[in-house]
Amino acid sequence: MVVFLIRRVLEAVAVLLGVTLVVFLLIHLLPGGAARALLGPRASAPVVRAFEIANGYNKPLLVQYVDYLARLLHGNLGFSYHYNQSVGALLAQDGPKTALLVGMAIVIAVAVAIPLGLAQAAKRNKALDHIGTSLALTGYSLPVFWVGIILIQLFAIKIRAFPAEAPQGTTVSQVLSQPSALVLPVITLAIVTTALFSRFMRSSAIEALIQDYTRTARSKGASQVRVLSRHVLRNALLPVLTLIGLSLPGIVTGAILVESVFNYPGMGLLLWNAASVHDFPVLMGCALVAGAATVVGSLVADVLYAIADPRIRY
Amino acid sequence: MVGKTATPHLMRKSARLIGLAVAGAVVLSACAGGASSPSSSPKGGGTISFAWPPSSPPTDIFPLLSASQYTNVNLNEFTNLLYRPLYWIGEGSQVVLNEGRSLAYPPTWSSNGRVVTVRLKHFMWSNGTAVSARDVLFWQNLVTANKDQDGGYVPGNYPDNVVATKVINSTTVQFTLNKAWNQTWFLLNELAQIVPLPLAWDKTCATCAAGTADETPAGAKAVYTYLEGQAKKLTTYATNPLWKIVDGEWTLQQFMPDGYSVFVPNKHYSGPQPHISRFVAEPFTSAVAEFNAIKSGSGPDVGYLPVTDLPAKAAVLAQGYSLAPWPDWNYNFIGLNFHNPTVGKILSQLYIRQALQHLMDQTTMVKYAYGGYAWPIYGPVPPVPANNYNTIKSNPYPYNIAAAKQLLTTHGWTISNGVAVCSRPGTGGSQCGIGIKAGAALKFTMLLANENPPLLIAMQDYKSDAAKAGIDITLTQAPILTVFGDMSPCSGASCSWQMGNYGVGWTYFPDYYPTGEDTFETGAGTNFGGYSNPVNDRNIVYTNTAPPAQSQSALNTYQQYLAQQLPVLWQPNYDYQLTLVRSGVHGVTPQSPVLQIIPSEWSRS
Repeated sequence: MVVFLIRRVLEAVAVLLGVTLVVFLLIHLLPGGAARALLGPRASAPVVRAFEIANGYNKPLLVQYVDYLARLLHGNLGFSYHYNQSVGALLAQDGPKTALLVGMAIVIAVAVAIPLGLAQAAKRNKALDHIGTSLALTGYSLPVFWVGIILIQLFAIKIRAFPAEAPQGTTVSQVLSQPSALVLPVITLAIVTTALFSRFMRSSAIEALIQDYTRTARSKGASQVRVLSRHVLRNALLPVLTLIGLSLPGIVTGAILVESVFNYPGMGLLLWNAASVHDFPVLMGCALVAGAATVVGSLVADVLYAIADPRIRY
Repeated sequence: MVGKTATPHLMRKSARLIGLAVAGAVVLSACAGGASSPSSSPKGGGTISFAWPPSSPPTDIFPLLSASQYTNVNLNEFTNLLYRPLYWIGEGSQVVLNEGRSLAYPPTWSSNGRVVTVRLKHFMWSNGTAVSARDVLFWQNLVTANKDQDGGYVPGNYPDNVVATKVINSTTVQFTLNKAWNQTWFLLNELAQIVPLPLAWDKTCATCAAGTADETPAGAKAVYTYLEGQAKKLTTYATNPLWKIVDGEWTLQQFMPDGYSVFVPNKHYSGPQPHISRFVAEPFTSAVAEFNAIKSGSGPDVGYLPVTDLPAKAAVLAQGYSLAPWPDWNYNFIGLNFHNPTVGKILSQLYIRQALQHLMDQTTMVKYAYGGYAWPIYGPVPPVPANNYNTIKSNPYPYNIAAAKQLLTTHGWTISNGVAVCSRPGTGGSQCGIGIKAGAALKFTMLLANENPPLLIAMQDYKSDAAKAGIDITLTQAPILTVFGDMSPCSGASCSWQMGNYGVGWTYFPDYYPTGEDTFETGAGTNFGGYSNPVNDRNIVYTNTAPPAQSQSALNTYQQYLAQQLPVLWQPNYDYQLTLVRSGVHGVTPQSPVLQIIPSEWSRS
């Protein structure tokens, strides 16, 4: 297991290096360049030139990339001229807020999707299955942005049960101190995620239900509850764990829209705004964090595999 | 500046007589909105909340804003509340000198027009020192030594056009200019950029002695570096002793890096205290989020209605908000690339540009694309709000498809398969014009910013009308910064853009006098399409240098000529913001066309 983990960490470093290279090259292909985008069209030539020299944008692309990596090794993620703050400070401020939002949405999604998918599989082609499938497909088809607006319309504007805005504040503790304001944004993100997870859980459980070990358990007189909880669930969870790990980027993408609608400045929105204003250092920083989150998510899924299924050894 | 972001504003103040104590002597001075008892308390009290523009919170507190921080929010909505500019431009809805809110009396000029003398009123810094001529020199030294960092810098203009700055006495400073400039132009564009800085900032480290470091260029660079470095620590804005020294009406009580700001009155302010006891400015991630907050009842007292939510206008009015459209000091246009290898020669023909302008149905665009919150543009001087600078009252090229067709046919174009094709090449009066070959087609590609739904509707309308005259316009949508990037002045084979429309036009900021040296003069840095016309160049130079008696006539000549010559296509301009003001909040209107806010003049009933 230790060797496996070391190997995976080394692979992760290589993947992240690849991510930085690809993102670096792609964002530098954007027309106009960073200086013109950040300084605006009225910035005079001397001002643009001074900015480019100060930030090394006048150097060859490869040199810029190597410089970036060198700074990265020293823990320096760069400076955002758009926000007038270091990228590290921005990520430290906004990253945990997005992590909290995404984390809570995943927990709710898993808590709902796994029993739902399991129940659907157990009652396959029955009313419960049809209702669950319809709800899941509906939830999965709804744009996150639209779901958010509808929830606000219903629960913040009509009923006024919850605030229209997510918690305001720059730290996680400030956010957590306003729990009622978290309800709508978390549910919005959880709806789509639940739909996705429940569909996978259902098909995975159906697959497990027809396996020999399930049949054996039934023939030995195990109850339906025991069959589902002890034999089907653990095996059906394996592909879902992988899915959870790999769906992190998609959920973060959904968080961009949730953050925008609910006035919740997190990392998703930071990434979006950075892309809008060609804020290269922030783009690189966000890409790095998102890449790391995906790699870590995948790694955690692998570890959970081993826990869920003792037969798996690395 | 070019972007449209948000902000509300103020009421004008009448002149008042104020007693001033200067250097132990009692001086009576008539100064509008100037000094009064420094310890007067807020008149009404209460809090008013205000929405920063979506995803555009303040990010810099140091008034000598670098190019990347040179935004309207940083300048006119944030730092101006704390640090008063030497000359405040904007009174009510007019782009004029606001004598009452200025730190100095109107400047006086030498007979040769090259020496301008500025006499300061009595204003105090919150640390107990007077705002002095030396503070003005401090700014001048910093901006001169660091001009490449200054977001307002245009080569050849301020501070290049100031050859000497001299402190005459504690309240008088004199600028010697490199030539005689138009005095209104110099006041609105150059002197208005000056923000006196407290000498307590004149140091290069937290523990260094303050007061003389700016006197050498190297020292001024070091001071700038230090202050700029301090300004990058957003979490310290409300606590750093540097930023607590203010001469404006407000001081920061709280500031969060996401832009959430709480201002309280500066008890040492030399003029009248604000009506309210707290001013809270809130950040919003999007216009949708802000409007949702308003609809749910938890929104700011002064916010905005997104244009795309105009159908919900009645609902928010029923909630007790009033709607105040906020025009800015801006004109809107479609850029034409005269250097494009394919269509540059075609666009260089005036009759082609006239035909293109005739096809612009601005009235329909205003009504249907912008919901009525827009107005036609005929030239480079904004017509709205009503002002004395603009003298073009009618459209030289009104919407007329037949007129456009006739211009083309009389110059040798025939419509083939729906597209006009040059059938009479040559340079004669009835021929297509220089550089246009037989068979050349009137086909253009317009690069269009895609974040602006009303603009997309307007341009679809334009494309449709153009097609009726045989002009094929392909609309290519892209993010606004991509359009910016592509629209840079260029030449040669790589000069690929043909028409460019980023949709927000040109805002006169911080150069408020509406002249064209930045945009239409040959070789100007933001003359996107490379327009070049010697007559226009002469007109522009004259607007910059005309003596006072001829200042307006020079501006007339300039704008009338460009309205006829069409260096760009004029398109409707729209309100910068549809401001929503909660019932019981007063003083927000009229809103400043130069996009300042003056919350000290807001009150609650």
